[in-house]
Amino acid sequence: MKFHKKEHDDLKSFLQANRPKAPPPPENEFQILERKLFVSKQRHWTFIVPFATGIASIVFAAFFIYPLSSIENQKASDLEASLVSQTIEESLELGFMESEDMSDVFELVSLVE
Amino acid sequence: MTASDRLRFEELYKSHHQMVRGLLFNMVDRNSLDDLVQETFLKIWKGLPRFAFQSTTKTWIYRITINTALDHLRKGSVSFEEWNENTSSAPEVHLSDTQQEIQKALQQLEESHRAVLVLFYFEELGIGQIASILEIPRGTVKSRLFNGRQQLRHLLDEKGELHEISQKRA
Repeated sequence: MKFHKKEHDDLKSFLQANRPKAPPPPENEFQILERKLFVSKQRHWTFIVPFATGIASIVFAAFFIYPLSSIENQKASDLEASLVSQTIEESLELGFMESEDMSDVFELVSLVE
Repeated sequence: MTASDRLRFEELYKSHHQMVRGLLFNMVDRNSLDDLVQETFLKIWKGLPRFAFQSTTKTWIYRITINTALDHLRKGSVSFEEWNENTSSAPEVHLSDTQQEIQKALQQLEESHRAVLVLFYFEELGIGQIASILEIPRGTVKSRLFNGRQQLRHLLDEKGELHEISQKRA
């Protein structure tokens, strides 16, 4: 079907004269929208805050707690080793240790070190 | 949301809600209308900071509205029968028989054709503006308008709605 200009114009005026008009919006449409905007922002924050806190805790643990605890462990084992060697030296000086016990002591020292 | 934001949003809503609602009314079923009006305004508000003023605000709002409608239609792929069912179960809207027939005929068209016809005939926009809103070449708008118009005319002829025009022409 081909159209002539007249037909175009007729159809145009017919459609424009009979344009289906939308019903009015619900009375509280603006308030609903406002609430949705506020709630979506709030949801945004309720998601971001715990997420960011979680990430921060992991970073804190990785950079501060873990190195600190390994330093503490190192210090503890150093102290333990020095105490053991001190005890051995003192025992040798005092002649409390018999020669057969010495192998156990050296084994203990090597384990500690 | 600060007080000035709220004021800006209220202004935006007041000046464009009829345009948005009117366009969506001829694109989607009545049961989805209120939800889609709200979805459109939320998108407009969220997109406002990124709006680069490369087109007029009106063109930009038309684009968001029509894209919201097209997304909804593609997602749901509502058949004409479903549209008819949804529309008859929706709250009563006072339309004349002719208006109802026009709306039914429009719903039977392909979404892309419907969008062009609604923008051209009901929103009274030019080919260039429609091309800018739909982000398609002017030639595509013209061909969709041509094909859509033929289909619409055929559907309205079937219902005898164009009898009035023929009489006027005679």
